[in-house]
Amino acid sequence: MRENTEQIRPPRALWVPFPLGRPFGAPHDAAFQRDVARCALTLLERRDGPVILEDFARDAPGQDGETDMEGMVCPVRLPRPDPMGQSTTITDIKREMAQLAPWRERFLTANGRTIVGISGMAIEEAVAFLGTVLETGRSDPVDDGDLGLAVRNTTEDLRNWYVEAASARPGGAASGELLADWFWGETAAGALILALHPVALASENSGFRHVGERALVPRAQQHRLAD
Amino acid sequence: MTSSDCGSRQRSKRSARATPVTRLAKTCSVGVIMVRLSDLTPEDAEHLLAKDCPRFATEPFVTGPPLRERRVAIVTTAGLHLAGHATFELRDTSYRVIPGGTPSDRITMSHSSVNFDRSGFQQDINIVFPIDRLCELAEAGEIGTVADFHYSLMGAGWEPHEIADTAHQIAGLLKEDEVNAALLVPV
Repeated sequence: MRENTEQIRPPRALWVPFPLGRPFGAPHDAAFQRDVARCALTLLERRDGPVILEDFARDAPGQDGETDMEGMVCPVRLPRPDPMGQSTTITDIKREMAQLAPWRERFLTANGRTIVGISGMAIEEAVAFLGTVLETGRSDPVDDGDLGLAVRNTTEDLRNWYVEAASARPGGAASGELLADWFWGETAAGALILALHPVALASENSGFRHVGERALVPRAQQHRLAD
Repeated sequence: MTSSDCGSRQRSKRSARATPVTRLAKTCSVGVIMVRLSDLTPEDAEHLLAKDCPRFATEPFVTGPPLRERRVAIVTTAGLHLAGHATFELRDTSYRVIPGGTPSDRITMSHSSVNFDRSGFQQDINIVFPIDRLCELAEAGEIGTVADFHYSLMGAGWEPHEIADTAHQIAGLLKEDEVNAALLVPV
């Protein structure tokens, strides 16, 4: 943030008014991204240091996030499951994924790349793994020492799979905030991860507990957690 | 668009005009920093404002050759790495090398923070790793060349002194690649 940078006083920095995670502003807008890069790199030629903090004047195209998410494939808000209801949640996730699958195929065709896969599991396997962890607090195929990282990576894969699918719908290139609100507020997959949170916090496994505390639910979505 | 191999392609052009002066030039860096405080949730704003930002005793401002003669590398804290390579651990001060010619479909992300938006990166790698934009600026002659190697680490949760060794290692590698401009890209 600009406020942090003013304290650290690096030699040259360009502040951009874009959301966290999007330092070059807008996907697939090469001209806009080039302007950001050019504006930053030009600071290298400035000699009026020792501290240069410049502002980029324009918002990113589409940053207002007005894309309508109404009518997403799961418009009905699913009941938040409790740990005892995990089989229902898994069924709901499978149904959602079947509905989203064509859009995810479209994403893969259009983009030619995916960031799903860091868990090393097929997505169906990842869902089953998370269901087992929700039910039992652990999972036999994963060593206890690796449980935290496995949960982090499988939840990341699940979230990224859904967002890739949603962003491939017509008009689906919504802001990250809208996509996040949809995932965490409207999908069974989001509900599963929310339900994992208290399981992680109560776990005797320190790695899993750490994930629950720091790497499972974004701060901006933690209001959805049960008290 | 996929990340091209313009770094390797243009190395001969750079080498042909490299001089002892440019090889010895200090590496300058410029960072791209994000987000309006007012655009954050109160929880995120409070968290980020509470960061312990050190004040350094020195102000390492250096100058160098014109931009059109610069060799530019990207250093990002986005937690990027090649698909199939080791993911970043939950707390991890290591770095990953991303060769300039790596196809974009081989680059993935395993940053441990859940608090920033991935959807832009999912759609377009250049949103956090602007390799294609650097190649275009090099083709247009606005910068000299694009480095052969770029670097990614993970910035979540570290105090600056805890990741200083990693930064020194990356700086050494940049010098070996004759880089004299680093574009620092956080997420």
